[in-house]
Amino acid sequence: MVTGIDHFAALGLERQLDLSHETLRAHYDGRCQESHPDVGGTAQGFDAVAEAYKTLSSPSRRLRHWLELSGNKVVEDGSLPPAVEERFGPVNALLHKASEIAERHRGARSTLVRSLAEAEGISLQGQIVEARGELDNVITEMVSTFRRFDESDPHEVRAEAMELVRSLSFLERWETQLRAAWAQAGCW
Amino acid sequence: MAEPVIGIDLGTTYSAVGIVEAGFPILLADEGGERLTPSVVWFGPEGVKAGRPALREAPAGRLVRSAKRQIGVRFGEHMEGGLPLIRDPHGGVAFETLEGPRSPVEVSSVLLGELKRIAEYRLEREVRKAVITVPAYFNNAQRESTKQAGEEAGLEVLRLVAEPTAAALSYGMNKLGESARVAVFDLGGGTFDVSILELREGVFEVLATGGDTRLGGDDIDAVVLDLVRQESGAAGSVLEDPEADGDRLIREAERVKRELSTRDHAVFRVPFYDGAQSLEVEVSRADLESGMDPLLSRMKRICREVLVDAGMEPDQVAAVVMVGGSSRVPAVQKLAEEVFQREPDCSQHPDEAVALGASIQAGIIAGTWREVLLLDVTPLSLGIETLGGLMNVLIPRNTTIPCKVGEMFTNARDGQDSMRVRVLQGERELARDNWELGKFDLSFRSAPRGKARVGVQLSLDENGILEVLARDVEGTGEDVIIRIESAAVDVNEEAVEQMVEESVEHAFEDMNARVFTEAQLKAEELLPAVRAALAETGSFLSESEQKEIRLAERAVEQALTEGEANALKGAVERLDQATEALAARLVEKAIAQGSLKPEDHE
Repeated sequence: MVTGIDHFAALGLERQLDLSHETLRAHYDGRCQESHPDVGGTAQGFDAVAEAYKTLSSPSRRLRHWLELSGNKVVEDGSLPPAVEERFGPVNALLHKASEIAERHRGARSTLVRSLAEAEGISLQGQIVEARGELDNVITEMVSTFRRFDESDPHEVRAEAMELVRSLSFLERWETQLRAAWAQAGCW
Repeated sequence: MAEPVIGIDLGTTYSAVGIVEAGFPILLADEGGERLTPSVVWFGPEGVKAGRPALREAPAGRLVRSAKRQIGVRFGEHMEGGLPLIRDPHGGVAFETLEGPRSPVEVSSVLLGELKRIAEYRLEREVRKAVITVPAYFNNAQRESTKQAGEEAGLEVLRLVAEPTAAALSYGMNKLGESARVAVFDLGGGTFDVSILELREGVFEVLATGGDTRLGGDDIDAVVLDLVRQESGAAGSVLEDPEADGDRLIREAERVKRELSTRDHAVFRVPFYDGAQSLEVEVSRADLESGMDPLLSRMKRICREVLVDAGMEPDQVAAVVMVGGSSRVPAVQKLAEEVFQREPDCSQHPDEAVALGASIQAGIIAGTWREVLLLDVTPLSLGIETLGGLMNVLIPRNTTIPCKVGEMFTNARDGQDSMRVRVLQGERELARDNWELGKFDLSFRSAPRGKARVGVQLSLDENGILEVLARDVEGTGEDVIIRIESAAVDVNEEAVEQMVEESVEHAFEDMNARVFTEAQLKAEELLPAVRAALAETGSFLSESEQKEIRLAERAVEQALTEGEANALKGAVERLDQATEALAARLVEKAIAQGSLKPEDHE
């Protein structure tokens, strides 16, 4: 949805994609101390700050917002962008395996069967950590193009940036799912 | 001078009240100089007493205790507690006292009234405003009921603050200006919470929180009683006697638990329980710890989940702050150390830290404490039921509050004039597995299918309490605040009756058949697993261990063909025990391999 709200401005930031977590955090903290209901602010005022932080802290949402601010609507059709297509299979397999192990652990009636599931879960956790590491690398690499976008006219890099929004949003979602799967595979 | 705002820790077993005075949070003591007030109430013929006066005056077995465990809870969900519980006309729970039924809200309001009285006695002025702590993991109904109890006690509740967050505030008050992430491990009398917070310049942000509102020191007392029951044989039947003085037994179990925190053995003593005989049973710390195992694993799991939610590894936590009376139990401290891989910080007064933190939050709101701002989160996901009976999450857990979210609804049929929306709280995929906060009916203008559109805004205020707003998008554009019918008021009578019936039927089932079926299921699961595990790791085991497993295996196979329930149960238990060492090795092996660097194995 194209909105008129500028989340960068809401946090007192310049409209810049290349944004460190520390800078973002510092601006967020400062605005919280002005807008939170506890210090005389209003729920609405605080919402705007929270929404801005939520949007800008995720690379895919930040890039999408940046495009939308310059009038470029981003449509997601749910299809897998080619850049991340090959990663879907392995991630999905790990997610399934984790929930299957958790299921088995829950249903176990004996110590031995529970332990077998536990042992499998522990070794799966190792694989999940590796997979997350790989996803993180890909995300970092994609985010490194943000600096170039900052120096370009949004309309010129539009197609490339939109494709990147789609890829990043898949990667971020998988990263979250893998994190949950890691917990599932070993939180006994 | 500004109007005073007090901070109250309304605990399951003990409560306390405090205030920020001259720039410092302090607790207010009663006439006897005591800062902790027992959370007990007595409804007597000559009036109502709370705290110490109730302890002094109530006859044996008539005290209402642990009301917090029942607050905001629906009848039939959790049936436990000292006094008999009955169902109130609205589907909630009430305590059956000699003076008639009393709701947990009434009981809590009496307690809050006593704390208000103590504060007024110390401050020598009227107190009308308060901040009250609740377990971080309290749901909407539990929070609303707590707020209501405050209001019935004549207190305007300015804020409900999560207990571990309050503890973190009191821990962090001397550490301002530092940046660090701390975990707060809060095991109280009846509830368990873990929160991970980040301290930054002037901002205290909760990153993730988790817990269990039915896990606490009371459960450890129950383990002590169980051990005593097992050890004492026939004499222990006094513990089953409904006429027995439950209060006295619980107090003795609590005393033994405390003693076991500093000693290896303690003696459970109930002299002349029936006027003639005495009960004396020795309990060891080791037995208590192994009996606590299921409780400890629940805590462990919750801690790990919170770490994952915070997106952190254990070594990124700078301190583990232990609070809550039951954090004194050595096995609990050991568990915290194991999970967070560092020695827990026990520098905070376990019973007072939460009340001090509540006082600081009261100071922040009153403007007498200016150094810090607190950003708290909602512990549970909020969503609505979709057509297929699934939970559609609108506000994920650990979202900073206050927050809001919008959802658009439309008519599915021509001329459909209303639609029922169920609001849910919880983490399960199926709607019915989550807690139903309530439901509301949306009215549509008369319009063709898909043309009437109503926007609904769900918001959680800074207390974590829900408000729903609807706006007819295509029509008037007016906002309407929707009153949610609390689910507790609308429990399906049939469902409750069915629950009761089922539990009665259960008792009359053929015990023998049930024992056999259960043992059979376990045997069928165990036998193939034993064969597979032996093939993989049998070489780890000594010859005698292997032999015992084979013998136990054969005994199970034989008992299965003979069909005698108790024999099969015994054989399966033997096999379960015989394979324990094997099971432990399997896990050790996995951990050893898991700790290798990825490049070290194929």
